[in-house]
Amino acid sequence: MTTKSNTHQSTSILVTLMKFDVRFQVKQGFYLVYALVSALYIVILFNIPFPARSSVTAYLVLSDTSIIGITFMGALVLLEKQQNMLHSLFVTPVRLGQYLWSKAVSLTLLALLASALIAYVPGGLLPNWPTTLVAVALSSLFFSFVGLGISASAQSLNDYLAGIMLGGFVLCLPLVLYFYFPLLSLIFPINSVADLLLHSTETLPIIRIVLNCSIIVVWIFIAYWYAFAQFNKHVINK
Amino acid sequence: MITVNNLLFTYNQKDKPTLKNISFEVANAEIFGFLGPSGAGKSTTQKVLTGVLKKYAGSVRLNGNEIKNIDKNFYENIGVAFEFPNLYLKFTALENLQLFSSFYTCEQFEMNELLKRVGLWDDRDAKVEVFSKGMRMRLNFIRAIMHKPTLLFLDEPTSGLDPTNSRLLKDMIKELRDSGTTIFLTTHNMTDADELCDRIAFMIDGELPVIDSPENLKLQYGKKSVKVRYRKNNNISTNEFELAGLGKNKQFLSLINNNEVETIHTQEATIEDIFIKVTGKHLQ
Repeated sequence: MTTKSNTHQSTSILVTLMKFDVRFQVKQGFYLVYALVSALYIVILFNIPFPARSSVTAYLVLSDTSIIGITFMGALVLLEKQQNMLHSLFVTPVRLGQYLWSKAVSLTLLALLASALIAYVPGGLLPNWPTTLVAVALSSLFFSFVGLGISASAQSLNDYLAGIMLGGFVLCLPLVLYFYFPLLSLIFPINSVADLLLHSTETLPIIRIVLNCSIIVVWIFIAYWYAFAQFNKHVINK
Repeated sequence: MITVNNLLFTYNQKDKPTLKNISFEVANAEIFGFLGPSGAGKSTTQKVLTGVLKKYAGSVRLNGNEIKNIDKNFYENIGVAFEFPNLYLKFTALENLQLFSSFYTCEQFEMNELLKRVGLWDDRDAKVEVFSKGMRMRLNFIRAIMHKPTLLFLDEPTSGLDPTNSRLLKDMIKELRDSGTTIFLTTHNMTDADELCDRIAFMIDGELPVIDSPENLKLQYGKKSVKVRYRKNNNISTNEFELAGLGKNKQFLSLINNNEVETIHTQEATIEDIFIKVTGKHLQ
């Protein structure tokens, strides 16, 4: 058995994992599914006149594409569990944090792609596009980590669906408060995301954009900690 | 290479310990076999040794360094092949190897050469989902060794392999040992354990009642006798003689001089016999 020299690793493990996760999602048909869903949304939106089209687009992005992470994460992790991949990965130089970030970022790319198509092809959220994309990216990261946390203990798709129904209900319920106490309720992540998306056709004060983003970033790290703890408990230390 | 002293591990504080103060050492370039029934604690021991489970009591040292304090570079030097092949089914054999290869910065075996060696070269671009269990086991094996680990963990490496491929992998395991790799082998397969291992340990209910070389165990627990099968008047008969004084045993000498001998075997115990004798349990 002869050897070759692998003297320099040109890309980090995290980037390698992210690229692989995107390819995995493509091969498992995630991109095809979302291309079809996005096409359907676009057709519907083209049939809605302005200014209603902008509001409907914002609600579509808020309720669907910005939370792709929680919807698809179960399938992603369960497929890896089914293929017995998780333990193999964690006895290589891959660390749990890299694994979790790779999953969250790769699904966020899908969320951004789908959101961009829905928001900009029919033109509903064409103005103020940076706010929309930032809101989708942050929301997707947050919900992806929540999805990762739930998927860690799930043994079947039914387990996962039960988990995200409960989790989704708890996380989305505070949205009701947004319509009564818009500023106070921004402490909840879904409300901060809604504030960024629902105002994307007008200009939000920069301080409020920064406040919303900061709140979601804090929630992202809380969700990351939750996912990390759940994986340690249910996958690694099992 | 590995020094384990009074290793105690409990998954939940309310439960009984899974590993009960076990101690053993594994030398450099040794194949150390771990034998025991399901649920005995073999996988838990492997998880502690691979740094996955860190909340243990006692001491587990690898080259003098406590495993619970290891950094990520530790994983550059270990390879693990689990009992069930862990592979991305929608990806090809080559893509699976390339992914794992990219995690390591150390010197590695030539991937193409490994694929040729285990007979998977022609299938390198086929998706793993169409592979048989034997093909997956071979791919799983080369994925575990391709980064030239100094410590290799193998769990039932020949499970599901035909005799030819089983021989191939066993030869590769011996080659790795001869080139300096330390191998921790978990198996139910007595033939593999007997053939490959320099020493074996029996694990029962989280304890290690026996650690010794297969040769010593067979001598210690075997009968010191020889069984002769011979043909007499077209009938096959069998007779057993004590080894002590065999050269002067008149009955034995008469038998081999006056009959057509078919076989002569010493009656050392098999590893499975010894396991059952020592532990009172079967391996399966």
